[in-house]
Amino acid sequence: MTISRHSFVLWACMMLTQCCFIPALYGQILVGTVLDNRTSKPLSSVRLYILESKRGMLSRADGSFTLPIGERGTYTLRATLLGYTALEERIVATSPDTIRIRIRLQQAVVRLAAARVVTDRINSDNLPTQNMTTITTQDLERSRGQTFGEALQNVAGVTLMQTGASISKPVIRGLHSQRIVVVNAGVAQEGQQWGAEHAPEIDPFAPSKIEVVRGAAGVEYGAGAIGGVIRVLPRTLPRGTWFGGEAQTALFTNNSQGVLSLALEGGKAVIGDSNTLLNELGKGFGWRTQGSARRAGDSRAPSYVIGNTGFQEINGSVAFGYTGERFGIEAYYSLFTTELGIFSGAHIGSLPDLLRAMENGRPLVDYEWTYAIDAPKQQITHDLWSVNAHYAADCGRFELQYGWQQNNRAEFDSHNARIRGDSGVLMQSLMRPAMNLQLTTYSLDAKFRHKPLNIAPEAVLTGIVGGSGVAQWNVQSGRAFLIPSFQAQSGGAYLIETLAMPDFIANAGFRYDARHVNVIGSEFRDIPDTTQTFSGFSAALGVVMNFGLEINTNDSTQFISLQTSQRPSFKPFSLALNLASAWRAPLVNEQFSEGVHHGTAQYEIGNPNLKPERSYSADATLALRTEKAHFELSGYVNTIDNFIYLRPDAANPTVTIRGTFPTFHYAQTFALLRGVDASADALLSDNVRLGGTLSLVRGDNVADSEPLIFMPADRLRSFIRYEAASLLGMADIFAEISSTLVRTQDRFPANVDYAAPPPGYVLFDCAVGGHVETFGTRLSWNVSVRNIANTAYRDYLSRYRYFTDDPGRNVVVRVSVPFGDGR
Amino acid sequence: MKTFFSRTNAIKTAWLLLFVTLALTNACRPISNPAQTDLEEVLPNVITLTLSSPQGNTTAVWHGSTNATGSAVHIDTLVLAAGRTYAGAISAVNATKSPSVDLTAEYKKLADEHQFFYIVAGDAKNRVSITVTDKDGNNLPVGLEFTLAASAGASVRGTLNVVLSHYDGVKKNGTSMSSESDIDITFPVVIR
Repeated sequence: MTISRHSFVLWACMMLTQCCFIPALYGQILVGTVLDNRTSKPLSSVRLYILESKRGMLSRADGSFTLPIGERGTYTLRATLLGYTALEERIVATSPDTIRIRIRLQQAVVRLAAARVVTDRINSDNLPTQNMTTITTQDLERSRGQTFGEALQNVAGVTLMQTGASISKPVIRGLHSQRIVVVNAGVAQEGQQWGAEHAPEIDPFAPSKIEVVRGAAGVEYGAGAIGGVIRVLPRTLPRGTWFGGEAQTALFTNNSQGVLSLALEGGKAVIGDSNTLLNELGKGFGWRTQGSARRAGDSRAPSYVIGNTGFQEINGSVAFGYTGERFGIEAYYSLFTTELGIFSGAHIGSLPDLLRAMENGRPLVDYEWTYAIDAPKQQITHDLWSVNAHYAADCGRFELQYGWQQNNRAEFDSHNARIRGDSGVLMQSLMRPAMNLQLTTYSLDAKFRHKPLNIAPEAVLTGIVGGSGVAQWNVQSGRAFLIPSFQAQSGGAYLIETLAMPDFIANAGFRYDARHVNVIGSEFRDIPDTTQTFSGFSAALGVVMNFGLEINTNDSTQFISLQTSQRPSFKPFSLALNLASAWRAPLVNEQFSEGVHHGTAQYEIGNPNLKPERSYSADATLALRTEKAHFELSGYVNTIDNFIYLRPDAANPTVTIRGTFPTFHYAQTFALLRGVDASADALLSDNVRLGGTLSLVRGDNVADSEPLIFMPADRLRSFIRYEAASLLGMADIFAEISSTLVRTQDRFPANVDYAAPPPGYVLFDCAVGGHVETFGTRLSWNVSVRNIANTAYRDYLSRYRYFTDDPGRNVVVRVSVPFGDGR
Repeated sequence: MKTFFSRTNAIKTAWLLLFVTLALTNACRPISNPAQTDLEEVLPNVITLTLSSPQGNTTAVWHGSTNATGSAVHIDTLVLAAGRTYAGAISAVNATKSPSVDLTAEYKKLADEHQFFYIVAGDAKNRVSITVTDKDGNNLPVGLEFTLAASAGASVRGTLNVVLSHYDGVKKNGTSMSSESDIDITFPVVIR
């Protein structure tokens, strides 16, 4: 694999650090005090809540609190107080001793004296009114080991565009790739998103949380965020004295995949004697290192092996930071490397070959199952460095984020290399990538969150002013050609103001971006050197209001349930309305590609004169939240002017030496997308939970009055889950049965696709899991079966659907073992 | 009074320096610039059918573009005389390079991985018969050389489809095409 030496040294260091750890202490009751970080005064009425046991209390007048933990294990204590930044602290209870803890809360810029609005919304980096779903650590744990994209598939409005088990791209409300932004550790991921078979390069074990913003978010994230944003949040660094970690493993039967992951973290380094400069340095210190490796063989469809679909991945990350009174800085490095096979039967040289392969209804060759990865294959590495710093001044908070990332994509062909001379030279050429792309991106973001202004007794105005700059280079080499090399610089500036009142928030934002692209021409491809500048504005306007009868949470006992709300009383309904406009510049592949696309056997011709896409969208979300139920319904309309798509030119097929191919030109149209996302979740009894998500999208090419191609089919996922605090000596037991119903996509343009959309399907999954106290730790496990009935099906968005069924039954076993000490 | 060199400031400065150094170390990683053309794929762009007989010869050429896209620029019509039998040969040349690359020799050298198929369609279908005459090491047909017989009769039109199958995963058996066609071109045919 092509891992740079620099990356390898880091990787080696990470693995070395992970080889030693210190054994643990024990704890039953958590006793602590909450203080203001700046004034060191005790804080009362701080909401303290243990996420795992769902128990909480308010801190007393002297800032003290006592929480029973009950069982051994790792817990997350969340401390929230209006006007302060929420804090999550890791607690490890492994001995009968009382755990003592001191928590310091940092005053948030938002000081909402009287406002009882949802503080989470204000504290988020996204616009407070925006439609967003958070995938929590708990949800992620249940899907650990799957690809990054698969972790997102249960979110309403999100579907996957898959190329086998190894490549899955999230599709938000019908849009994907260049129309959504993936933010990894605060930095917009700049990978090679040129094709449907190019997946986001993110380690599925790295995030502690994933936020999915549905709808345009151009103001916060700049040009490109037309369809939505996926924010990947790594775990927060531990603070205070703490050393620990977690080992995880997962096994998958379908492709005989094995996954191993190890994380280690610590805080407050003791360096040298007390009261020395070095010791001072160590106090605010926290670090974390994490690595994962996995290997998978070929996937198995219900009745045959899908040849050459194995993959292997090695990923790792290191983070460390220092947090002082007003100043904090954190550095994060992550490395993602993968080698994955492309199903041999889908790598097509000519149209008759494609039709022959499709007619057969199953792969032409009976493949032997293997771990080996042959050409055609991809080798990808993605290095990312991010450094972010903040300083809390009296007038507000300054934040600075620097990012450096390099993406290397090497694609290997299995054939097509006609090197003159002997077959030795031919073999040698096959060992080298047919195409190599190296994208390097530097980014710098600066923002200032101004001090909240009390403009009225119950109204507070907060705001952010920011700017960002990006410089990137993409260098292409190899005999196969996808895009020319290019350089690009872009910059933008924005302003967002938020008005918060009790049960009402309004926000407005405006942004201007410019992008300068310098394409390095290719004589061989008849592409001249081209310099282009694109610019445009993004704007957003939104309101959210809470209404309905106030519900009081049960405040009479000391340990109140805070599962659904962090406030003692709240209005159960909320309605959010958003209007947004966003844009994106055409990409080099849309402008300059010319040639046959392997796998689709289409001759695609770029158009250098494409104009930027411009989207105008509106969405409305009605939500109901009570302690026992949660319901959310969103409707949206997104119009995209100059929508870039491939228009078939049936009258002029391209005649080449390899046969005749249907011709497709990159063209622009007026597109209209609209749809509904819904999610619901209700506690039927103390132990039984019922829920589901629904995603409907309709996309139309208005100018040509026909539906847009490759829009996700209607999808309904529902589950019923039994939960028990303890059963058979195990804790937090759950058992779940879920089903996924997918309707046949009946809206598609005529005479463009080679095959009609596959019929709809129903899949059933089930899972059981829980915690076991053993070997002095709290081991967590789960076993799930996906596609229980081993149904043969093909998804409309699967890139292999012309040639093979999707994978069949998959039994997955996951075990995770936390360890550490909490002195 | 606090001076700049107070302990807290020194700590902050130390941290800042550490992070800035880290950031800069990375920034200075050179951007490698690999060669632009690296073992170009050599596909033929000029395919020539040469048919010879004692009574006279005929040729037809398929011209592809000289850029890398491989699209057709000009295709000759193959003109056959009714009632005549030709000795035929096919040659494939990449003329985008200077000097041009003759790929015919390579197909001959790797004959056990290649086979040319000739498919006549249209009204000419029942008037033309093509028999491959050359064999590879396994005594299977190759198709670089063949005989073409055009039977006597009225003037008709049709097409000749030439397919070069490349056998990579699939084993060549002499009769079935592979799933991978290196050449797939069609000439108009006239029998006079």
